[in-house]
Amino acid sequence: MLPPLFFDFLITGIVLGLIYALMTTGLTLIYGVMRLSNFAHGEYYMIGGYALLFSTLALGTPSIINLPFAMIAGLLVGFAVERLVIRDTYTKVMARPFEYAMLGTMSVSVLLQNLAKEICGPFVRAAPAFVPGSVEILEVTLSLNRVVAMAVSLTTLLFLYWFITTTKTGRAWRAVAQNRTGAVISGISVGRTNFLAYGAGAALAGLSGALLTPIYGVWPNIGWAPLNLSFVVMILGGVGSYKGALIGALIVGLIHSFIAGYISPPYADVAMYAVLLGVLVFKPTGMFGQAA
Amino acid sequence: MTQAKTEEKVTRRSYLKYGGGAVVAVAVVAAAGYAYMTLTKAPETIKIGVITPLSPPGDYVSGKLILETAQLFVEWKNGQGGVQGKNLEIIQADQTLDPSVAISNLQRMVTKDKIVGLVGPWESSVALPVAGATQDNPVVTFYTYSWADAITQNHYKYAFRIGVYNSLIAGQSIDYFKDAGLKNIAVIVEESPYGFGQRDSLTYWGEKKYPEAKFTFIPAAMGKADYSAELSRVKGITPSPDLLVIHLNVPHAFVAGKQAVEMGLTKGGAKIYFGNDCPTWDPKSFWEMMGQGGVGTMFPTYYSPNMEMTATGQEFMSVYKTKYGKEPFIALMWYWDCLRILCEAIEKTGSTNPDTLAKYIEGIDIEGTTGRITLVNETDPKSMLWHQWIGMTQYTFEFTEFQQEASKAKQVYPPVG
Repeated sequence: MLPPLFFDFLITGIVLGLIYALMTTGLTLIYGVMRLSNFAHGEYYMIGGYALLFSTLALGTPSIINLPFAMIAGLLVGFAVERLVIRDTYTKVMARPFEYAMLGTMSVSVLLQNLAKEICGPFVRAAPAFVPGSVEILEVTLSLNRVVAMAVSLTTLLFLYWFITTTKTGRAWRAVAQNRTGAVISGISVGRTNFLAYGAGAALAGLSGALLTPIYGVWPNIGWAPLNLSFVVMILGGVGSYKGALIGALIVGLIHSFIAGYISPPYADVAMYAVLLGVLVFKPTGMFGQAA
Repeated sequence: MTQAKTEEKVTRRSYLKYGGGAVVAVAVVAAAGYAYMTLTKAPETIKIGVITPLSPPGDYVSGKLILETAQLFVEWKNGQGGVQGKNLEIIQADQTLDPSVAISNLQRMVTKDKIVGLVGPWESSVALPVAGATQDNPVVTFYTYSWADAITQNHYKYAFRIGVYNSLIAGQSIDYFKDAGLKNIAVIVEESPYGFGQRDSLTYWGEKKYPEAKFTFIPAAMGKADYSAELSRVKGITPSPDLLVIHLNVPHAFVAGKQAVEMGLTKGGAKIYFGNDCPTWDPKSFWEMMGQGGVGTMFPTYYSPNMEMTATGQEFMSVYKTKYGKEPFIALMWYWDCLRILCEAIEKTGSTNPDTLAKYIEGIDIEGTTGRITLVNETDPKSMLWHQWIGMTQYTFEFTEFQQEASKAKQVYPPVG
């Protein structure tokens, strides 16, 4: 005999988890390859949301068709930031490259938020629905926007897994992540690998922002909450681990849903951080992370 | 040889010649500098501080509107000759969500810029510490939509509220719930002085005015974008609530409202009631977010097209609409009143001393945009009726059509006519 609303909370938690997973994957990719805590990640998420909104308004086409614009916007901004702000930290000799890079991405975050406020306006905007309406699954009402977001997230995660395990670029990412010096000796260009990984991470953030704009809307500082959650998921799952990002995101989604539903929403965050602390105490590298 | 020749040249005459020339040059430069300073000295102005949220994560949506209103007032007042022959000038600063930043801006404005009045503090979590800081940095400060009871309950000498507060709003909202027969009420409250203040006030007034009503409070963290967990909890309430009250700031109120509709919470006939009048702040965002789900939602406010506006109110509406092409929401009308009160105090007392101004404002009696403004100043230390105007009426509206303007929404309470 299941407690009341069990399927409500289960399905809500799984949907949330898959959405969190896509947000976190880009961050994981950047950290895994570049060892960089990217504090501008939330802003790429925001840029993706605006890119979807404005491309849909400008072209008049269904919003689902315009998802690639969000990825392209994230990719281009990511490339620019990597070249202008981050590149120096691994091509030049400096005392504290990681701190410099981290502070650089923080500055980019503030800059992009304020630029968005001036260019796009301070108000919340929402892109038109991917598919209007809702669907009943096990007596749970789910908006079709969430179903689309979940399906695209899952497909993207599978594609990314295939890309990383089979393509030349993906293997280069893995090689640099595992042993930077060894990768260089093998002829891999670290500069090019970093450039592509950072751009791809930003593009994934842009995609997740776009997927969620018809559900959450978009405003200049919307990126803060996803960034915060993504860091929790990444640390929980194991920094740099894609499998960890997926499993960690599902755990966080389910914790949020069940604790908020059966106990109280403020305890959802308490439970999430308690689990995170527990994992860090007993397995400091996270569930699927590897010791350096 | 050359050196000896040079030494020979430095005679008393040449010394006097070059020394005298230097003195004359210095005198000319000094005179020119003095003349420049005198001729180009900026005319003296009366400075008004605006500390309001202008960047994330503060509510910069409201902050921008507040700043625009203050700028409009200065433009309008200067067009009329200013105050005591002097032009008004705005000194602005970002409130942020960090009280220490807001207070340091206050200190700078008071000590360096010499402001004579301050408007704009918004979120209670910052507005309240700023009110406290005016005790040590004396300047008359006005609040409109910072709802924490303590802003006036603490009896600060220079803090005045021409607007509403948690206890008043909650008590008036309950009058509507009772009138409409809404008994099973779920309330999502933001984890902030605003949200928890509403929770406490609704509990207090619910027991006093409407004990038959059952309130279920669901706290939600600030800054969230996904409310599905909180809304699932609402779904779990039995029997199903007949009203979902959303006490969140923008844009989160719209996000939660949209998700409530998508989760089917309104299918059984439950209504959504926004705890504040955020749908009037930026109707475009509201309808873009809510879509058709916005039809049937309700909100309380303190302005009604059915109310009689004063001549001052009509003038403000006209000036604001001409400048910005839209109607101002109620807090902006009250900010206009605050600035008029400040100017009247300066004109009538002939002083910019904060003590003199505060004393005058305590006894103010002026026509505001929505009615006569006088302040209640109870000396009971527990009373929140200190430097507080209470002459406002709460109206409840319901949207009956998609993309309806707030001013065209149906007034459901108090009944029209």
